[in-house]
Amino acid sequence: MFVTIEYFGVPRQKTGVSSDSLSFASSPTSLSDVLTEIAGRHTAFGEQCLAGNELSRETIINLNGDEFVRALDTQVVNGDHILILSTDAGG
Amino acid sequence: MSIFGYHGVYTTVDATTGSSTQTPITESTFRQFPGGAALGTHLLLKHAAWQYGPLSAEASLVFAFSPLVGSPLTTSAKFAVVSRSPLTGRLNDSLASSSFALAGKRSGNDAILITGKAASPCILVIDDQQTRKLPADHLWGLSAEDAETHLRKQFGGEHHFAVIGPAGEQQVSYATISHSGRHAGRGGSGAVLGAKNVKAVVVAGNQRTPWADTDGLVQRAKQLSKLSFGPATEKYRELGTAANLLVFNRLHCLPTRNFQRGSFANSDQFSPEALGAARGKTRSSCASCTIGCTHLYSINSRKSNQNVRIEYENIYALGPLCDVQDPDAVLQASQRCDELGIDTISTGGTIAFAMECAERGFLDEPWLRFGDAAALLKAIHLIGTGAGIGKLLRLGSRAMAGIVGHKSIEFAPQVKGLEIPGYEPRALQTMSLGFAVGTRGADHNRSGAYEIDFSDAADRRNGTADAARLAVDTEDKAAIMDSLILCKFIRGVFDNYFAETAELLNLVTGWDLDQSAMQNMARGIIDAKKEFNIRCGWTPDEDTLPRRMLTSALQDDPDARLDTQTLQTMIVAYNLKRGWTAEGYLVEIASK
Repeated sequence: MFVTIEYFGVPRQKTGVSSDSLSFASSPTSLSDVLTEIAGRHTAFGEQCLAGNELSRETIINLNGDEFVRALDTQVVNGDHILILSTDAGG
Repeated sequence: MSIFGYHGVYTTVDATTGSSTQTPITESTFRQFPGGAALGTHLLLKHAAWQYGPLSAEASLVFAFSPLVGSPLTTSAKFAVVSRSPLTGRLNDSLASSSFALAGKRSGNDAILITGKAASPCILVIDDQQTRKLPADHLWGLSAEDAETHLRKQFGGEHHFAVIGPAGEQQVSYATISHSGRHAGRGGSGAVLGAKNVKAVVVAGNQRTPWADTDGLVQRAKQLSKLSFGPATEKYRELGTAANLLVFNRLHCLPTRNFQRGSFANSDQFSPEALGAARGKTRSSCASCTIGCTHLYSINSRKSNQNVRIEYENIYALGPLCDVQDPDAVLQASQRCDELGIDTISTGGTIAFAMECAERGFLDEPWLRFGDAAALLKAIHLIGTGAGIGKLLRLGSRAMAGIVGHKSIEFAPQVKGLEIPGYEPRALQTMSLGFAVGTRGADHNRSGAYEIDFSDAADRRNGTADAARLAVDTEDKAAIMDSLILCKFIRGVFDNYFAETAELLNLVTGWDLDQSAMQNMARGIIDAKKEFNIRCGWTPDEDTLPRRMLTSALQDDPDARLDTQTLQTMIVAYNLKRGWTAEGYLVEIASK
């Protein structure tokens, strides 16, 4: 299956790309597996997006422009868009 | 008796005569209203400022300092300007940063209250020698920046200046008070000062307040500074708030064409990366700040020496909201707003509203069209001169709608008269509550309810009572930040917000506040703001949104739909969580 990762803000700066297209052998797969794949591609960002077994406080993830998720066991299916954002708004 | 962290006094300056009086402030008052927005609100209540028109001679305007300013704590060099707003008729508390806060506190005052009206343009000088009124005819008409340059030559480096631009002099309803390129921007405090014929307030002094635990404070300040270089502030440091634009656009919560849409065709060109690639860029920071969030971009080319400070809100209001897609035009518009001394959010909101009125045929201004960069710049010019439609634009969208008629109030982008910041209420429905109930109107700095929308605690397109109750906590945190005062950009470094801010205040004052005490303090501050508004004539029907947002979905996101019942459910939940009546009255006032 394929999922599209869209990076915004600091995640975009750290990865150096605005998006990635990732393929996985099975569908669905967990958000944790997706983030592990991302961390393998983008080391600087990978160090920051996870804090132990949790999403770091500074990272926000949105699925398909709809719901925000933090649980790493969230299931991702073929065609999903995963948006990775910097925390906080303001200004 | 001295109080650690405080002088224990405020000075009232009468602009009519130039005379001044000092009044003690007790420790018990500071324990309820520690500084900044809280102290300013308390002083306005004490002086019964609700009784007077915001632009009347009797009106009061408070510069309030704080217990933390002058300490080694990062981001603490901030001051609040508090008055009744000419734009909303309700409480207005605006904050700005840097050396004016440090010098104002060193003048020996915890606050400076200005009342009266000078017969001719003047500056008010408050330093530790004396208070005096000096003529300012030579400064009248200058931009805030140029006036500051003159004043710096006149007074030297020890004095610092809060200055109005031409818009403040002419009492434009959303005129700012400026200091060193920063603005106490929202709600028109610049017009209040201008109505008093006061071009600038000048402060200096050498009076420092002792701290209860200097070693502990220095140690904590070092920790906080270190954290301020970490990931919690990285977005502000590396990209600035403009980084929000692409995210908001992707989620359809970037207000576009006067809140008709939630996304913008040319957003990529406004990203920090694109702005920086096409033109020169520099960074700066306020005094006593280790974050350095200020990102300045040159206009037109890499070689330009005209740098403009860019935030998400001025891009949003002068770009997408007016559908202007030329980044250079938006930068020029932002620069022109700074020169005039006008709030960029209200400027963009009012012009976008006027563009829609013109397109609907409610205004005979055929040149004023969405997407027209030249029209945007012309409209700002007319706000400055007051000629033609500028006379209406100066009033803000609510008052303008009252004159235009045709039920245009239904799409005037404001709450309580204050133009809405760049958070689409239908796509961020917990934030829609924050806008509706905000004491100064639609406000992203007094409610951080968008944090709930941007989390897994809420469905951002389906507002609920549970989410509304969570929004209370974000307001409470903002009330503490605005009163201690610390910059909101540091908030992400705290693990236990109320306990840690209690610790900071305790180190300065020697008090023994804990998490619960800080939460109670926050509630008391927000109650005081509400009390001021009720005394001004607030009624529950003010806590709402423009009808457009309650009757139609976003054109580009049909799922982003909000209705009156949903908003009202959130408002009642919010009011009850605050301990108010379901309608939003303070229980003590409702029972009288």
